[in-house]
Amino acid sequence: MIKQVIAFLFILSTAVQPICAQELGAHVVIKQMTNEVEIISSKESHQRESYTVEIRSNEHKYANYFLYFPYSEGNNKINKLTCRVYDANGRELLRLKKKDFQDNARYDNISLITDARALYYHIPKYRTPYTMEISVESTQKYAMNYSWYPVVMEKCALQNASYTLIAPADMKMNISTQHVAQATAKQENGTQLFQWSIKDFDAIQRRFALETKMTSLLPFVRVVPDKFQYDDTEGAFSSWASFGQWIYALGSDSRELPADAQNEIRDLVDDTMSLEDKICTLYSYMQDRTRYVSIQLGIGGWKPFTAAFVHEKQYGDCKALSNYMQAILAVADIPSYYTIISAGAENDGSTTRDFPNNSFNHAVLLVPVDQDTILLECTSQTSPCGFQSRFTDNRLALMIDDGHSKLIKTRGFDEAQNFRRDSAVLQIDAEGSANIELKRLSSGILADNFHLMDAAEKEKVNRFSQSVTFGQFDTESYESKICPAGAFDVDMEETAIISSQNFITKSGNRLFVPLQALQEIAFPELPDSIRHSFSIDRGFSQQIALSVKIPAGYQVENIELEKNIESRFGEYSRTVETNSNGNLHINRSYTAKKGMFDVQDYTDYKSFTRDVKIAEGENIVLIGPQ
Amino acid sequence: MRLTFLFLLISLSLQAQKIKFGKVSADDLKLEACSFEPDAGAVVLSDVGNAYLTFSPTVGAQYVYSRHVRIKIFNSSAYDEADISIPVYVGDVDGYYSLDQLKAHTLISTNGKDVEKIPVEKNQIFEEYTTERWKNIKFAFPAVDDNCIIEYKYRIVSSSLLAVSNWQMQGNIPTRYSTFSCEIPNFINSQVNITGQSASLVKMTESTQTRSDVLMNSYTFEAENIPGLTYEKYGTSLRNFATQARIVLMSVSVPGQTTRFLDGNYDEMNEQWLRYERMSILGKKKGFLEDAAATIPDGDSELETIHNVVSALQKNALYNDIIDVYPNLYVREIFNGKPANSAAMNMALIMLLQHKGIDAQPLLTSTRDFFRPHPVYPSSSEFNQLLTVITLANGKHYFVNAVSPLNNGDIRPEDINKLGWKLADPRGELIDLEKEVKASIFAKTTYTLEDGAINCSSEVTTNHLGVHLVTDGATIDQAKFAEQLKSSFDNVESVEVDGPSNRTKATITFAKENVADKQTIYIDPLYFGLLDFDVFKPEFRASPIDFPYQNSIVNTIEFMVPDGYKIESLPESVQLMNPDKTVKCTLMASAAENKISINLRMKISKNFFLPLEYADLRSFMNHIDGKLKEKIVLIKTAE
Repeated sequence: MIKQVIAFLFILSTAVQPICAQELGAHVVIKQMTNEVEIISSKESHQRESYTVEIRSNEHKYANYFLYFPYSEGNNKINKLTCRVYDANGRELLRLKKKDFQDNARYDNISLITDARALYYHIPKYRTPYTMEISVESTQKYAMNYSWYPVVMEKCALQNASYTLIAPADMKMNISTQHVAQATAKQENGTQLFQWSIKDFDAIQRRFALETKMTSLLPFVRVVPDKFQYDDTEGAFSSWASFGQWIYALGSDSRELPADAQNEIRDLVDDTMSLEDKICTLYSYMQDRTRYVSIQLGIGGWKPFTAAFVHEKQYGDCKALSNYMQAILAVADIPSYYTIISAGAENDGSTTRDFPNNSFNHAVLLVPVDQDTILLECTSQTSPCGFQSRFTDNRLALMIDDGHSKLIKTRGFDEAQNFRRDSAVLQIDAEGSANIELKRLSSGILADNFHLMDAAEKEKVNRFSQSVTFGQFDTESYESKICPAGAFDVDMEETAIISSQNFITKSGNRLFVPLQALQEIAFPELPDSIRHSFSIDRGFSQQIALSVKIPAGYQVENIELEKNIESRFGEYSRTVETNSNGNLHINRSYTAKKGMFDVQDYTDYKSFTRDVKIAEGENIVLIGPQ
Repeated sequence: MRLTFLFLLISLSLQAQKIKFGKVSADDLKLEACSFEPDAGAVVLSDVGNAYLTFSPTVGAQYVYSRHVRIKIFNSSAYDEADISIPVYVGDVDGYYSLDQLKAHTLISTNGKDVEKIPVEKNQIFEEYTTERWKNIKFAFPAVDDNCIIEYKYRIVSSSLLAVSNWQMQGNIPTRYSTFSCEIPNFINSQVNITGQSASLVKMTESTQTRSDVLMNSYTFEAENIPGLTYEKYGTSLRNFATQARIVLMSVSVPGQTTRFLDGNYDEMNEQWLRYERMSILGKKKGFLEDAAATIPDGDSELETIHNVVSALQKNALYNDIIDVYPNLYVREIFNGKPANSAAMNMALIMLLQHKGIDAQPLLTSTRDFFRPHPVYPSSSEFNQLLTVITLANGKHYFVNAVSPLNNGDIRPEDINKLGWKLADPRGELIDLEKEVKASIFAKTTYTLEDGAINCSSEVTTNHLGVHLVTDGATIDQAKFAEQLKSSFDNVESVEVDGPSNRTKATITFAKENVADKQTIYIDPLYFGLLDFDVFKPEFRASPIDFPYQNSIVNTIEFMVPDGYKIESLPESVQLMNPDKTVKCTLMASAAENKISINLRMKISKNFFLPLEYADLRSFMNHIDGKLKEKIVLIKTAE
């Protein structure tokens, strides 16, 4: 018995293993990975994957990731799944088969229902390091890519991995790689065989929010078949036009609206209206009539619901609603183009001109207007007509046009267009109570909160209070409205009267007025050092003009009247002027400049942000009578 | 838990109020805003539930539950209310469940009189198997528009008594009328009560009647104008506060048979838990445990011994990363290396501690995101974790979670949901964790002014929960604590963290601030452990503030002012407390012989503040925040 207890207490002691250079800081090391995909035809492929992973981190997400196997019901089948877990001394701790895994629905937090499911096993918290040997065999019906991403997470090092792709000799493959050497290729027995390998890949460690995106750092092999099949449809990735044609065909029979709908739409517009008015009237009609409901089942993940269905049910996903809007515009003889895009607050750069593939997750509608085009976001009930947010800005998208589909670049915004301008009058009394009348104009990505237009007033005020630096304040009045700012451009205007008892600090006969009023000039958290280049993807500017009415008998004791800080990353300036009646005018402005920067620039960036923070951290000190 | 031994057949349904499916009043059709929450994007016009429980010798228990919901949509901010998901159990462990009689439609009226009904078609109702034991019935209402009404109803029939669940009357949007009628056979002793933020709005009526020779208890809950509820910081899960009718089936008493306890009584629960086979080891001496305990060194103090045991267990037992209130293993199995859930891990800890002569017992409790246990009528479904409670030699309780990622098994804020039940033979004890668990900080900050530069360094000593006050961090070790401290300030030069986690000491040195060319020097006294005052920035709050623990902070500041400088002003000494004296803040600032001393003591001894109290609390906190921003002002008197 004693032996058993001692075994319990000490047998799991950790053996220290040598760590290679590329594994420094790694929480996971993929020791060996082999992946083999055999394509039988455009509607059948088999995948065999095995890997040996050493788990070094006690953070359980790393181990659990490798025991999570997503699949799509009806299209993929995981036939065989085994996992063995060994401790540092090579003793087997766990042996799993497919039946030991749970089979659960996978959620995207957006959709009502999808085909997405996953097998997963929640592994016990073994003492690290331990090793997992995993083997998976799966079958896939339709595939639009046979890509390989051996490393998909940070802090994961890789020692040795290979990918073998076997395809019928007559099946043309389009290939693109990143951080992986060229394939060896050969043909035998009516098949073509490609093989890639990668060795000693360093664990990626990003510690800074502006550091190079993971998608640019990861190794991958992207493989798409020149021709593919999905259900009973056939498509091709031979060009963007050919892929676009497949998308076009999926929706080609879906744009007919019922006669009564057509009549209703025609009644909304007439020839006296400008093109902009017509588009916006019909966009508003679509917004008022529909709501976003995502249902992604089978080919429905690609094929939009018909316009008639959306008109009747008054809901649909991005595809269905964009298709519906296209049908509406068509009734008014306004041409438009269904457009697919990789949406998200960060442009992941996955769509490139030279590699037609499916890298899209969203649909919008592109409408030619004069010499320009606008994008209509059809999933929002509150987005202004033509307003483009950071969700779809400044990236490549595929415009679908019968026979002529092509990539287009969506509109980007620069620092002149992304701005927030505050002008305010601050009144202070001798006890430090402060009162502000504020007018705020926000534009571009800084105006991107139109979804609040339908929100409850309390929520609007609470959200507004979070965006204003003025201590804890009470709002006497608050109004927001959308203001036209040119064709298909809008600004958000907010006006408020607010008062605060604790923004200004009274110490003895001094009043301390924080310079950082109304808008905070904020920067991402700064680690000591970074490993990768970094970028400011969107420039923007903040301007605050504050007139300060100071209490009688008080005067400014101590403030540097002018401060300018310039760098490649941005510019900061501050002026404090006193007018004849002793009141102050404070102007602060900050512009973040869009740009890409090397690792070596990081020291300068830290220095710049530190200087700005120091400048912004100052107080205007008003000294009054004793 | 089938009660097939029962032979009686009882069946009765109630109709609390006649709200007919598809029949909507003209007033509701015209309704443009919720009368008691005009801002709301939608209102539940009515939510009507009926349920009855029957037993028969052939079928066993059958619980029939029907629900009819009607919602008025006002604007697009609430369109998501028209996406419905109804969970249905499909496993076979707890008996069968089935959903039927599902009907749903959207009602539209353009003139306030004529109503167009647009049904949810059957082919637009989806089944999603979320896990092997649960599925969701999902559908989206068609033709949803501003001012439409959506309405659905369904029935669930189940053979499981677990299907007898609470009736939640409060959700994200306001509810104008909610009612639930439930019939329970009289031979089942049931306890019903109302909990949640708007409990006072709920009326309950109770009656008994004889039907088919069986006496029935029928309960009806009704409430009107219940506000919507949303999550806000320093709150807990909505489940803790949502207004609901609780029905707890306590025992079954059939004439001629022994009364069988089911739920709802702490003493009975205590007895049942102690009889539970995987708990029966409690208090017993076992050779393998004695041997294991003997390999763990005794500490110099009671606490050190406890920490040694926790540490040995955490290093050697295998945790399966699943939090549960029921141990999945016998203690012996854990010692054989099988993966144990959190309850089993704590049971192993308790047994090892008991063999070390330490008074350790299981504590049934609930994680912060789960249901808050009821203080009088517990429902076993409202506990989801088992912790360890130790009665120290001084009589105080000390709480440990064997699977806490913190050193020494310190419990974390997420482990605390107010109440816990200490299992003990012969009698357990209800413990208010929020009162007994405290976060504390002692910080000493020293300033000097030498060679034209201000030097500042701080020593911050915290108990393990105090760490959360300093960094707002989640589960952290010493390295992460140091990292978070560093990133909390812009001008930290170095941070050193030392000591066990229950008494962590961080030494922080700040970068020198050059003031040589300044005639007047303004210094912001540095205080640690203050609340995040930004929480009080919103002017409105719908949910209660619920601090997981009480906290007290002490900050002392010392500043030797060198010759050539004069103290111009100091923060004003104040003593502040709110009307019920649950938040106290004392700031004492003085100067003697060029030495500035500031002492700040702040204590919050109340955890729970209702939304009604928020405005006053906000105002008070803002006042404290303002006082704590007051500066030290020095003036240079000589070059």
